[in-house]
Amino acid sequence: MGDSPANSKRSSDDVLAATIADAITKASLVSQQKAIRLRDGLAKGTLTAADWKLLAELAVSDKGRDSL
Amino acid sequence: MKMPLQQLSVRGFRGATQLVDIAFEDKPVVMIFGENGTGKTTIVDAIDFVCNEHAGALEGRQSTPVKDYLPALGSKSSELQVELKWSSSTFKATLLGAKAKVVGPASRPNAKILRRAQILEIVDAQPAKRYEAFSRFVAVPNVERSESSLRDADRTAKSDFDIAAQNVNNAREELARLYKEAGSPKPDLKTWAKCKNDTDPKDLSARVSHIDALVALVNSATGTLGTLNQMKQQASSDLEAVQSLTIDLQAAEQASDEAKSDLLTLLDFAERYLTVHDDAEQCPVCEQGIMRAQLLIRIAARKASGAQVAEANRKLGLAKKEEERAQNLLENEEKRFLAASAALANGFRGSQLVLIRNGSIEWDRFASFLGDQVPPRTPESLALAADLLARCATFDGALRSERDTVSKEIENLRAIKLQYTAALKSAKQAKQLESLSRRLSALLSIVERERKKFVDDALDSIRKRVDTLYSKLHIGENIGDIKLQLDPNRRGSLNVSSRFESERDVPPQAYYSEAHLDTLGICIFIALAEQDSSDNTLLVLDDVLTSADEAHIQRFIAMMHDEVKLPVLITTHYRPWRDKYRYAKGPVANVQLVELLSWSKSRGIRHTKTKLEVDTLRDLLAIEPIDRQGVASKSGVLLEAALREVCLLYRCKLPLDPDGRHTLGDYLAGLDPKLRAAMKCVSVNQTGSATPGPEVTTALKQLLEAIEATTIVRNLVGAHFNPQGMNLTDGEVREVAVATLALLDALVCKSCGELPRRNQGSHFTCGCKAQQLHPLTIPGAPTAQIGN
Repeated sequence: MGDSPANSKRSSDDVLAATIADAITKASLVSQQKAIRLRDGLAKGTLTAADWKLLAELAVSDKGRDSL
Repeated sequence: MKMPLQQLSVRGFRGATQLVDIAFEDKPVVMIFGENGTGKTTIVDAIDFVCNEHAGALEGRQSTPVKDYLPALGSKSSELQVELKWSSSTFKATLLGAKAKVVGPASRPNAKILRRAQILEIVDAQPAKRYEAFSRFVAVPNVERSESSLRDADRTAKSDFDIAAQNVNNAREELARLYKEAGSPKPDLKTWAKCKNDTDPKDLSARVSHIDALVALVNSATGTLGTLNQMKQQASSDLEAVQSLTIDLQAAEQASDEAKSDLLTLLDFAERYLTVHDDAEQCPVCEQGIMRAQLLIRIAARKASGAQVAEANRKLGLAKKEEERAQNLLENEEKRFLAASAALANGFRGSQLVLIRNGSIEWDRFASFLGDQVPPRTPESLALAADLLARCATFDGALRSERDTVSKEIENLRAIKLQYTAALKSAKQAKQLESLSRRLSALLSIVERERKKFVDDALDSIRKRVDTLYSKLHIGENIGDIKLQLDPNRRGSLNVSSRFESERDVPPQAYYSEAHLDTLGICIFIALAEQDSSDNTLLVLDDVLTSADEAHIQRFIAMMHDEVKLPVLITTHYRPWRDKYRYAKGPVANVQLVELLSWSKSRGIRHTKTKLEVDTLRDLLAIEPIDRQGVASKSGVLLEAALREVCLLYRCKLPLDPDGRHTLGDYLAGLDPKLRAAMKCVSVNQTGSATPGPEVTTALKQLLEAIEATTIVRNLVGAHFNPQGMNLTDGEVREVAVATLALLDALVCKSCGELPRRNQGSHFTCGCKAQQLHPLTIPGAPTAQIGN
């Protein structure tokens, strides 16, 4: 038989991805604009090591200084 | 809460050989009661089919293919149809091949179905299997995949940083070694290394090239001189050969007159003449007669005697040519040597090398070699050139040593530059990588923290709910405190632990009874269903409670009505559960009771509305002529059920019976006069607004007295065959029923249909709290008798 009908509720991945993106934004590690792409990548599981590296590098250049 | 499920129509599906049509009332709980084989599972399967596209009990079974066995006996698969009305929407499911085809709006009801066989699976399953049930709420595979990538990036950045830092250290150590080798010049290593790095190695390279050029000039001149000396020897040797061959020729000529070279030449001419002129009869010179033939023989003989002279003459000729060639070569080589010497002189004269400049060459003597000119080829020049070469050659060792020193200096300089540059570059890289690594670590820390918190919160939310539900069922039983924990050592593995007596964190499977595990499984399922619920969720419990004592059934009913906030459809074959509602021991007004009748292939699944006992009595009372025994008997049973509950509430004193069986008289006698006098029911009209409606208070003393007065009628007419009962009138029999109904109407809540039996501190209430029973305890009763 087929699968259960699709549930319109957000998946756990979606919920957690949004939470993480918010936390990272609040920590000023990424900008609001990049946080959206970060959230989508997290939820879909498509973020690679290179993506993370680029994100961290861009964060450095965005801020212009190392505030960590 | 309302029941959005309005109607279920099933045709040609499993046990539904005939159309089954069940209309649902707007009550939050539906209980479908039926003995085994009456069609309960068919109804649940039909809901599963239309809502979840599952084949119910046939799902996944190889031995009973869906397309063959889902249709009812004697029905074609094309006749199978399940129709479900949910709120304002209708969903129709048919069988297409082996799959359900559902037509209806996109938002289909979300039926969460728990079957008997699944209960133990939830509790007793392997941790990995159990995790599957929870994975929807705690599994975040996509985030975990991204987190894994982040961890890789963090690890790589740290590793790259370590390598860069190591490179810095290596370069610094190498620089320190070179610095030490250089004698640790002042002021410090850093200044020295920077200075060396700024030094242009071109000057040193030019010095090496210059030294190489001087050495090459010496070598060239030396080589030329060597060749010249060889040629001199050759020329001398060739001259000696000519002289020797001349002596040889003279000796040969002396040994024979004919051997004189000019005579031999004459004989050659004579021979050729006579050979050409074969008719000659006289000598052309002396004009004397000759014998030509004899003369030719004589000439040949004379020539033979002069052959040695001829050979010596030939060799001498060759030797003279060789000697002439050697002289030419010697002259050329002398010119080359002079040219090489001139180059050598200019090279050394123009050198800025200290060791050359401080050398002891008297350049005045060699002035003829300086400048663009080459000195004339004279023995003096050649001797001077050889002297010059000898003087220059004395510098060869010093030049080579100087070149080695400078070469090493260049090599060191290159090494210093290499290490200095590497140290700077690696230090810069290390700084960048350290910054990157710190950011990645910060990101990873947030992702890990939020993921763990999410999972912990989700599990904690479910755990709390399970614990709440379970504690309602097992009050004072020293079990519960459920914990749900992911196994830290195994991915996708969930452990359940609980309390048992004084032991905490023990696996419930090890200590709990089967009934306790059953209820735990049900509570976990309900908690999960609630967690995943939406506006269109229906909770379906298919025959999950098979056996339980009265207290647990009562608590289960209370839990279902008080705690569960989802519409529920329950099927059961457990009669005591149903009868709790029938005797007003549950909020029957909130329950739709459906009863399945016996099944046969020809009649299919049949159902009827379950009648409450009190309604049965009302119906009996309306029948004419009166069913005297039926009315009296039903009244007695209802009274015993209600008064037993009241006696239990007040812990009334009853005659001890080992089987717990008591008569109506026992219950009435157990009601203390003080209690009777104080007993009253207060009904609060439910207006739906914040402020309650007017209260209606009914004292129970008179109603109980009326019951007591008619007890004899019930015993004579409704209990056994008794001739004395025949003397009683129909009116007297009716009074029993009227008194019974009056008491029950006063006791039972008109809103929820439940007896007030919940301790509220000062009185008892029903489930909806619209009905109160006072007092809470028997006035003046000893402490041991007080409590609920």
